[in-house]
Amino acid sequence: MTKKILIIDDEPEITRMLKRLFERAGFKVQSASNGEDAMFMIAENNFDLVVTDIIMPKKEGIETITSIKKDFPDIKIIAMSGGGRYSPEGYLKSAKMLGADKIFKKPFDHKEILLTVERMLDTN
Amino acid sequence: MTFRTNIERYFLNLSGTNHDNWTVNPFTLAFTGPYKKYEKRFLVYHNHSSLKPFRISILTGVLFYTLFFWLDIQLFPDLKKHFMILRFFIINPLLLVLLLLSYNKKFKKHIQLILSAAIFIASTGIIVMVIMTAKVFNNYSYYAGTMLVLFFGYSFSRIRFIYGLATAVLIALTFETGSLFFSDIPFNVFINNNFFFISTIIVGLVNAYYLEFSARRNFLLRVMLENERRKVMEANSGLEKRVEEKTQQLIKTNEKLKKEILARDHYKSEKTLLEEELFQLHKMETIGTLAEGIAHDFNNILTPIIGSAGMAMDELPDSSPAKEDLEQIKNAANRGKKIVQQILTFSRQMDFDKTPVRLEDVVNESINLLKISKPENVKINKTFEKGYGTVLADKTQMNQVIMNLAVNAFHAMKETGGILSITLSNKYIDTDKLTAYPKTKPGNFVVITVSDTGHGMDKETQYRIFEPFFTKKEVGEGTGLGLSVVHGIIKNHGGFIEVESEPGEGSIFRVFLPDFPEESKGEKKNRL
Repeated sequence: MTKKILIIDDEPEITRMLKRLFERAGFKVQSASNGEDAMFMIAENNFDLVVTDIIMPKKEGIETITSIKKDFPDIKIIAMSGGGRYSPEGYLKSAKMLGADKIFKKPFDHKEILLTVERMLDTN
Repeated sequence: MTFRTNIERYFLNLSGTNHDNWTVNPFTLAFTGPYKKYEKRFLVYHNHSSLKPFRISILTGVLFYTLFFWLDIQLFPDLKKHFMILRFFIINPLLLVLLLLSYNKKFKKHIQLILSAAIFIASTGIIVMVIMTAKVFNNYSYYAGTMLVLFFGYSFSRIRFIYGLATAVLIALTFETGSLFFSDIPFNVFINNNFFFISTIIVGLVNAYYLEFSARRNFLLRVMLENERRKVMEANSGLEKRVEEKTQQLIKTNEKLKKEILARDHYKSEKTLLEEELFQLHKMETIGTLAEGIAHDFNNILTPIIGSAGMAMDELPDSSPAKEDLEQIKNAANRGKKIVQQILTFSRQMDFDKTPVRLEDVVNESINLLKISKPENVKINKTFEKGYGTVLADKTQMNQVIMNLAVNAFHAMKETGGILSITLSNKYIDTDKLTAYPKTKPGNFVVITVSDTGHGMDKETQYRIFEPFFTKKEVGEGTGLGLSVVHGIIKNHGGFIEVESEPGEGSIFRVFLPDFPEESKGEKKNRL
């Protein structure tokens, strides 16, 4: 069964790039630009993995991660960080503590993130 | 009575003072009224100043008595013997005795009496001679001698009026008695002589009166003068004292003011320093916030650039020329990534955790990394001097410092190769050295020395190397942020950094960090 991935980022260029990356690799991809919308979409769909930005307006990434982990514990989570506001280490550490399975610092290597996704979803 | 008439006052340009209304008893001439208190002083003063004139008078009198003996010899040779006895064995001795008395302490103060006695004795002597010559020769002309005596006695010998009056009365009595009862003086001669005799007495008394009056006036004048002078001096010294006091007060106030000004300046400069610090902090915060915002957006922008370029490269065969172009896009974007990171590091220096860090470990780790990335022609030396190199710091930032300095050293030795030396040592630095770094406290420092044998720097460059974005490197080789990052890190750790370099002779960078004694423990969080 094709795995479904949800990408959450307020930057449309990033979501489009990741969509192309993952779709070319054979995944079904959807995107949301904020955590709130994302939660709705997760509720209506069966996502296997979520790639989310940490700092976004409307629902901060970490909150999203916490919500997902609480309500949909089976979904795998990859966190991304733009490295602004607070020390990326600090924030990403928190993200990991709260449930993200892997963390990527932007800008990341597209091959790496793809490899990680495939490994997490056992499609390697 | 007044000192001066109006005319005199005018000519002497005197101001009308109340010294002009002194009074004396018209008969005794003693001071009366408010000036009574000066009577005693005047008498003592007058007596004292009479001594000399008296003595001169006596001596002159004795001289005359002696000289007139010649006249005796000429006129009354028969009476020679009598007169000699009289003059030289009675009168002159008596007069000399009186003279001596004037030197005696006890008798000195009675000089008026002594003087009166002298005048009386001298006159009586002459009167006796008149009687004698009258008896023998019927000659009364010697009475003129009394006028001589009177002249002397009532002029400059300074007899007081009442004494003079008493003496004059006695002399007159003696003269009349002598003339009338001891000689057969013809009536007209008697009248004649008396006229002249009495007149002389009167003139003499007037003289004495006036002289005493003048003496008293002068005395009072001098007393007044002295009083005024004293008053002026007191006023002066009082004034001087007040001026002195005021001056002292002014000096004290001045000192206080000076201190206040100094304190104020000190506070001002401290305030300025604090304001500056605050401003810098604020600036850094603003820059930090700005940088973070930019970094966030930048990273978001770079992600699709790098990602898509990479993805495109994956789609293309190796032979495709477009692959090179995409490679370039990727590289450029990666450089942008590095710049963003450096900016973030640079602006984020406020936010780090300080723990005790063994710089020996940091240096070792750095050297391990450097060995991998160093140019071929560069050798790395490491020296740990005795002592210890533990500081309270952020380990990552310490690493950054050493790496940055080492990378710069590599770059300086790119053409020629050479030796990179990293040394750890200890040094005690006191306030004299730290005047250039006012915020650094004196004490023990750990010194990280990074030196190279590269192309060195001129003085101008040395000045500017810690400026952000200042770089001598070619475009693409460096951002110019490395050393400003280092500088910021060191400053935030309470240290300072020194450069020593000569063009063509390499460079030495010395990083001074306050040491952290091994005994102390605990973490120190520093978040500004």
